[in-house]
Amino acid sequence: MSGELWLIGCGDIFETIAAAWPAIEPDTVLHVVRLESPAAIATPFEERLAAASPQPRVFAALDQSALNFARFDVYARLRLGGRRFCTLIHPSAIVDATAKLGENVWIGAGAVIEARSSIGHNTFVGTRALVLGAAELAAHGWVGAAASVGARAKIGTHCVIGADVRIGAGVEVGRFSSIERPGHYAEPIAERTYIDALFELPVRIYGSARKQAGTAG
Amino acid sequence: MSESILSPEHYFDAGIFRAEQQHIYRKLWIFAGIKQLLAEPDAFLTRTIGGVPVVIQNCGGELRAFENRCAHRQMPLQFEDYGQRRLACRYHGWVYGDDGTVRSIPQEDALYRYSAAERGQLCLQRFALRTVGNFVFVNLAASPAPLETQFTPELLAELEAISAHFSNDAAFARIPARYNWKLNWENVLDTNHVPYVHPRSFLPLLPGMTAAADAAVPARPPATDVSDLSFSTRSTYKLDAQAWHAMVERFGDTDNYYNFYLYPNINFISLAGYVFLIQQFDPVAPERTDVLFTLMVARERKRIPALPAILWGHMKGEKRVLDEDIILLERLQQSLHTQDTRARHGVYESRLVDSARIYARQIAGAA
Repeated sequence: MSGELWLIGCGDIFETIAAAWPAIEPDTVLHVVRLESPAAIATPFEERLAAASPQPRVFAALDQSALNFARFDVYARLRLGGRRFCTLIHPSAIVDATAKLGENVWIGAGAVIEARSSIGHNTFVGTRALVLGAAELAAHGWVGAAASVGARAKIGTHCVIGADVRIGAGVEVGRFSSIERPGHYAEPIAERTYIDALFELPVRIYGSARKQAGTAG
Repeated sequence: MSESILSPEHYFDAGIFRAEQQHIYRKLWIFAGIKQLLAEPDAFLTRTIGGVPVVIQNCGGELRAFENRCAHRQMPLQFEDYGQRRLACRYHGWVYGDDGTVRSIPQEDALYRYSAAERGQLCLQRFALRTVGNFVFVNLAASPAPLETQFTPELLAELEAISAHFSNDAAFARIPARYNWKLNWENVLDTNHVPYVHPRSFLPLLPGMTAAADAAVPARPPATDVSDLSFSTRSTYKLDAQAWHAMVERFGDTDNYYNFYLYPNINFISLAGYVFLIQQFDPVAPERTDVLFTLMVARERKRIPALPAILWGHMKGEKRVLDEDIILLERLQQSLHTQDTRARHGVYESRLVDSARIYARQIAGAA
């Protein structure tokens, strides 16, 4: 694709895209707006895109800080400002022609996206990650390096599937969950569940927003 | 110097642990959970108190505490820490009514054939329950002492006021630790450990806290009653302003570190009225404690989409501070097996001395 693209953000994926350019889109001129940190989004950054030509394409690249809410914030503000987003795929990734990718999606080096799978807006798939057949990843998600999402698995919005995590075939992971302890997960994971090396047992958020999975009377 | 009234055996002896369960945890009012998570019909929470499995269930709008085991084969009725499900047994399908009596038994006439007298005995044991704002307390004693004899009216009023600011959502963590529960209770009473154990994590948030300042404990009369063991303090907190602070109804209007000590096993803190953390040191075995974290923010003025990320982020931060304690307390627990000396308290540790004296009186069954 020819033209210009404005890359805004910070972190590992941001630097990966910047370093791999122009192999990602050889005919596109890249403009880089590097934020100091995810916390920098608290101050207005939109004016740093003011020099962009009318209707330029943009890409918001921030890692999985705060359940992807930092990246969501940049994405949502730019989208409200009328910016057009693109999806970026590393040249070494393999994406089946029947897979559906939303906007502001990143597919990392060596990743494989199999047939009939879908990846929602603003979701990042890391280096050598696997998204197997007909898996569904909702918006604003993160799949870490070498992680895998099994066939027909469903991952909710704002989820983090950490590096080396393997979500089994058909497994559902509820929204706002973070699974960062490497291993294989074969059972459903309720929304707002946190599995992390810092905690021996899963942490849960309970409250008004839930009808808790697996507890129907 | 004051040598502790407690011997090392108080921290690992199985007989002493059983006495604690009987005379403290099955006798006092024990914090069980937070009310705002039980607002829906059939919402429940489960806990083990004094070795007894307990379920607190929303029964038609009223919170009731029952022993969490079926009258048939003693299977727990509810499994999860918090959930929403009618009071029914997964094992053989028995269903209970709001009063704890058995409402229905599948194929009762064919399979059970209880007499009328036997059928009438099939019910769940019920326990006393009190709410203080959003705090839920349970008492397993047959004739519980009034809650007001365990906590002063002033302290109860404080708890009611501050807990009115709890958010509707809460993060909950169960953190296994390999030490006796009293080591953690003593640790939170002993704020002099903070400069040494948490020099980079927690101490920088408490300007003015130094070993010397902490040692300047105002003189106060020795505790004589269990209600003297629960109290609150407040000190200056170095607040890191966040955008979401403008979206909540904080407690108070000053950057205080609020600290509540609720005997026997609760340390409840608030960071400037924006974040609330209930830490409970739940006895599992003589040398095993589950530290239970219930973490909330101040109630929302308007919906905060990123609330799960905020709660999870604070939960991780609090766990990292706790880990700095756990690594030391587990070492201390291990060393207790090989030494026979007792703690030698300085004057600043008068709260620990008071606590130990009244605790010893309780497990002897005298109070």
